[in-house]
Amino acid sequence: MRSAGERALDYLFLLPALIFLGVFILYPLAANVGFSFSEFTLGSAEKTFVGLDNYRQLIADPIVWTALTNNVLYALVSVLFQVFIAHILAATVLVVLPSRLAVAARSFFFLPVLLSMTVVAILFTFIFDASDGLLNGLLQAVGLGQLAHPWLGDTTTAIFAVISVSQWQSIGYTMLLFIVSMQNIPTELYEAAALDGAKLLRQYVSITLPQTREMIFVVMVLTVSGAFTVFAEPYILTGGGPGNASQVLATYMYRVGFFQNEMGYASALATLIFVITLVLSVAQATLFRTGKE
Amino acid sequence: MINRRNFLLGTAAVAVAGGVAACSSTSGGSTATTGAGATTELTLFHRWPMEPKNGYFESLVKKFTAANPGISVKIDKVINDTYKDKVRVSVGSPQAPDVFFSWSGSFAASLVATGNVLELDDILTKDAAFKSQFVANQLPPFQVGGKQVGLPIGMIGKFWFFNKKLFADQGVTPPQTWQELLDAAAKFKAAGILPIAYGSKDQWTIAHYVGTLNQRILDPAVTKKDYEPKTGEFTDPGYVDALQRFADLLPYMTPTPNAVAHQQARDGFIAGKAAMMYLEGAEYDYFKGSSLEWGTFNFPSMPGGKGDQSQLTGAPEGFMIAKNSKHPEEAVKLFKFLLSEAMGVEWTNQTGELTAIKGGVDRSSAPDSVKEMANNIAASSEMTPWLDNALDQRLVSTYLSETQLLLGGQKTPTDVMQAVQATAKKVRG
Repeated sequence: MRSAGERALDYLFLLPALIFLGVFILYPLAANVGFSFSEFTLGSAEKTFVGLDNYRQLIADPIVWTALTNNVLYALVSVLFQVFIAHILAATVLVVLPSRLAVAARSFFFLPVLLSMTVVAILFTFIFDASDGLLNGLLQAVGLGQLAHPWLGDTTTAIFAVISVSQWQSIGYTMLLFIVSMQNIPTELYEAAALDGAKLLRQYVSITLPQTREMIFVVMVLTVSGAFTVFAEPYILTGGGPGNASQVLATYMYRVGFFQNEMGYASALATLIFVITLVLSVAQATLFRTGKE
Repeated sequence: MINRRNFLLGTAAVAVAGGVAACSSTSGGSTATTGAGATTELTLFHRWPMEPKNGYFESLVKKFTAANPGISVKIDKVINDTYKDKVRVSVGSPQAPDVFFSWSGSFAASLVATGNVLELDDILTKDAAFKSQFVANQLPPFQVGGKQVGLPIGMIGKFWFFNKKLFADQGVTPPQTWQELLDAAAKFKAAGILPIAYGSKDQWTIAHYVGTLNQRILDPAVTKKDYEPKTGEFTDPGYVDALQRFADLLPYMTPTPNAVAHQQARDGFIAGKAAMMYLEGAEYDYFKGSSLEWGTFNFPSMPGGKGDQSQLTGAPEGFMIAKNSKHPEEAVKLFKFLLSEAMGVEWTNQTGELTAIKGGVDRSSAPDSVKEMANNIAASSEMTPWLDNALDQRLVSTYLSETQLLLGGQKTPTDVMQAVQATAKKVRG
């Protein structure tokens, strides 16, 4: 039987984490929701209570809808690449490729993850450059010059150019997560399946997929919430432009808060981002019914 | 048991203390120059982390601390757009820098709104010699509510720069009127030369064109009323006309300017690939080491324009003092040193910027064409402020993003002004 003192000590151990969570996560979250009902500017401490005005403005603001659409596009493309394609890639690297080539392939796909996002984004501004960019140069070199395009400077292509950079950078990371989880699948399962005459594809569908369900869920949550909080890529590559064509919620929030100096409205946008990611995480947790395994 | 518990308690305390310490450390690049036996530390916050200006401030601080034992100066610096965000937050905070950079106009006003900007009128009345050393027309842009809140370090004026060789080859003389500009541009285009280098990926470049065109075309009384947040409507057809004129230049500009950064366009001009470019005076500093022979001319006059057709666009930039500085006397000392006549000439010598000290550029080692620019600015009765310094930031945001779409061919001038009018309505409140 443990003494009351020892149990009290248990709570003491929790204290640092609780203080940390409280100060850096819970308090700012609550404060932000409070701010979203007021109007104030950077640097001045005066806040005017405006009730739901900021949320009314949010619903009527066409740029919010552009940004939201862009975030949804981001999420869809990211799930396709960073969950489905990365999963297939992981299985390919692990099972199909001979082991030496597999190691090389793994490093090859993982390399971009090690680069700073800022560096990657600046690098891609050179690749996408309209006049001297590598991509347009390549297209011209192979006789597809008519496809050359001001990728980042055109409202129709800017957001897709930005999204593609994120895929290039992140696919290696999720692939590695899948590889780790695949390596934890007991080999007996594959041996038994092979004895029953199951070929590689069948093994993938019947063993690998269900056995890595937990990881697929984790990656799905990471990718989707990442897609709704993405900032660095569009901020550096296009700054949300041309116009507001490649604006996402986070860059628009930044612009409203720090450029337009409307901190109250920016807080409302931050709350919107939080609610969206929270709802999506809860929805996915329920759908996959994981967390208890 | 006691010992173990004490140890654990200690560990927990260290962990908490570590967390607190971690959050109190400041971020951002900073360097401290400590004088011998320093007792007072001042913070100087500016927006030039790159050379040559970064080095200029470091050597300035060294000179200052050598002359003022007992004071040390910590320099903080963050680049342009980030500076705008950071200075607005930090000036209003208890950790405000003592002396800091500011643009003039609405930006200065936004810093004054934090309540931590020192009014300089007393200092200037006491030290008339200090006040009189500045070019007179550079002081009003730093007045907010009738009070002098900052002083200029440099004058910035916008000029058309042209490539002398290309102009001579095509027999073109610097255009004085809008029609002459279009004719010259057409001539270059026909000869296979890019007439005007321009990149609008950075939205502020749009503000420079539109601000000048508005000034030339519209009645000053109209822009005065519209640029005021409480009364702005932007219904005058002159605004649509100004945007149409801007769009008329597009066929002669760098193709798909929305995909081109300002610096990239400028590099093209320096490399001799374009005949003209609308640039800030001090940007000539980037031409050093190139073989470019250049000249400047003022923005052409507009047919039927109601504004002063020879006015220059530009605004000074300078420094301010924090009202709540813990060391007010030392801060004023640093401020006066920073803006002294000797340092002003040094500023032009080392960085190419045009000092706001009377006759300062003339005494510097700058080329004659630069001295001419400085004299043009000093002689100008009034300057047109940058559009993005003159308007409420919400209007700036709409005006620039929508005009960027005009340049991309997705919007018409009327569409743009409708969006601006809608935002103006919101800003009027």
